[in-house]
Amino acid sequence: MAVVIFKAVEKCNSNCIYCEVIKKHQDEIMNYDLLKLIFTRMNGYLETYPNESISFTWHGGEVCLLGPGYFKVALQLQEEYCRETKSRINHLVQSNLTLLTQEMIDVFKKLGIRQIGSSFEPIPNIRGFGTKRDSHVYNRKFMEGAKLLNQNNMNWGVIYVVHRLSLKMPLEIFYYLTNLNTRSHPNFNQVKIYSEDKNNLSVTGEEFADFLGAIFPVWYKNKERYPNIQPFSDYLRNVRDHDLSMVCESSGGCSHKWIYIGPEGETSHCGRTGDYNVLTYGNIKDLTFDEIMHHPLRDHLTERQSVLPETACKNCRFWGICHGGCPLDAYMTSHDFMQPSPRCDTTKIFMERYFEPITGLHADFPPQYVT
Amino acid sequence: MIDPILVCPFDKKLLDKLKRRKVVIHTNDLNVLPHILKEVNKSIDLHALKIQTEKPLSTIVFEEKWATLPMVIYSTDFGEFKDLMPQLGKIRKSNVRIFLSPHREHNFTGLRILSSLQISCGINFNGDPLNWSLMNDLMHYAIYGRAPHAPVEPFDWLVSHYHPADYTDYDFVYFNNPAKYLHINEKEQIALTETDLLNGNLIDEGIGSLDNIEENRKYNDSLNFRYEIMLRMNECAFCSAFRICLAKFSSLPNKKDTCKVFFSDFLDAADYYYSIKNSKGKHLWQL
Repeated sequence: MAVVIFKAVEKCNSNCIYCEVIKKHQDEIMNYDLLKLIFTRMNGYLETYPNESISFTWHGGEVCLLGPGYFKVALQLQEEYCRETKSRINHLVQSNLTLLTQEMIDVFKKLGIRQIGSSFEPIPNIRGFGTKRDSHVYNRKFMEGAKLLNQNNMNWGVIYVVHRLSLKMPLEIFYYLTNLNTRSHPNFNQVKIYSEDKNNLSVTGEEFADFLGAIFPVWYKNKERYPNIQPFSDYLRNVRDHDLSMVCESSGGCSHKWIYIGPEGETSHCGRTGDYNVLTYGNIKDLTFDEIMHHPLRDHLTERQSVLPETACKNCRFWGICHGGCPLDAYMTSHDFMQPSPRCDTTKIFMERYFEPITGLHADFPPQYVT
Repeated sequence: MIDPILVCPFDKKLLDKLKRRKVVIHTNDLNVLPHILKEVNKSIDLHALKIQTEKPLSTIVFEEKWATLPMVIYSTDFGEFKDLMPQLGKIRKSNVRIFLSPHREHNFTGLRILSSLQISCGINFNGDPLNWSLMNDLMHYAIYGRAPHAPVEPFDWLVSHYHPADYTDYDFVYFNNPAKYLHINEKEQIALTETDLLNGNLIDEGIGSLDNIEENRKYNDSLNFRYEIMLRMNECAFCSAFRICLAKFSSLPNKKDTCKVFFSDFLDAADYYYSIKNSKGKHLWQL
């Protein structure tokens, strides 16, 4: 399955303190001609590969800035240009929910969207509107959006970005987020700041591991109450069930899976590389999906999976659950894809300090085990 | 269309207008029971009869003919067990649940006695300050007790309706959840809870307004009140047990030693009960 991170708009109505996308100051919105081309390209790809499907993630910026009319056009274009292949296009949405309306939800439903990914922050003035990041108004709008989704029986879940201010209150944040929506549980990600850390928000791998470690015993004891907290659920599945299928940065298999498409048709490897203009593959106007999916630059990432087990990750017993981590993280810190992600500290510390002593399980997945 | 059960007084004029609706009739007067019985047989779709009395339970004289009435008795006091004993047969034959006030310590013992005698019962857990330690003991008895006993509310209701992916409101037990119950008086004033009705905190007036209740803003806000709690970001929003207590004790000071401890234990019990209910059972090897 190909995963398209589609950013028809990179503008946002919010001014979240850690967001890298808004720093691009990209005000363009993808025009309808280009949107039509995207659907034509997807159709071509799906016709060539009859067993393939596309996960088409509407991402931003804030997608709701596009308005319901934009999504109606997308639906129309899909009907027209993907007549035989549309059943293999699975639409997903990432939104901050603050601009959500019933009209927007109605068209989302027509696109087959049944859940929305979002983010939330209980600590004030981290996510919010305007220069002061007014989180009070932002949170009220968010709740209105969440209410609307619940009234429409649509699921929503949040990613929580762990930053320096979160470190003081891991359990409170955990309880808040699991109280916010009992049906979907949060995914904890470490804040990623590669430029100057003006607000002193970055955290070390060890700090992030300790943050997770403060929550882990509570989660482990109450797994049925909070069934799918990431990264805990995946780590447990990996180690207990020897099921080493991971997603995104820990999968070791992102090389030929993702495509970022920006507002002007520019493409890159994934949403995050698109944010930093790394691994750019050219413009969709000039390239087919197939050409982008098999772009020679992607081979670096495939190669990384054979280089690391022989070098920096040799004999590492956590290889099977980390695979060297996110290639972009490695590149942004060392300008070399053939390095492990600096985030591997988190994995090692969390597993050795918390996961293994608490669960009594032992992770032993060095490269030779996995191959 | 939402069709709530209406909690109302025993008022013939009002009940005449509520004929096609399910009702909970509440009264403070045991003497009106014969009249209610007559009306029930004639025209009322009775969900339950709620009797609130200052009399100790042991002094209430149960009658055989009440056996058909779905009754809930709220008494302030258990009374004397020796006085209750001769009534046990009739109580057991009745379709009754007995609630006692949490403000008398011996009521907690009384509830265990009733439960152990297979009489459905419960604590009138209405948000007032109370003895949390006794509450916790009773909850443990109700949920973990191995000796056969009748349900003790709101514990039994909560654990049997609990699902980890949902919020669970035990106030259903007290007819105080607008998703199912609304409160109405003789003047056809409508409120979300009994207390709201008494305090004049109304959401609407007139029986006709019930037909479009889903369009009532206050009604809708009440169904979504948890978002308001999350926005306030007070202690309850960060509490592990919010999903079952729903900030009912938000005004209590020192939650760490009171509601928080009790509801965290209660939530553990709900999880325990849920896992037992959903386990496929342990199959021991056989000789």
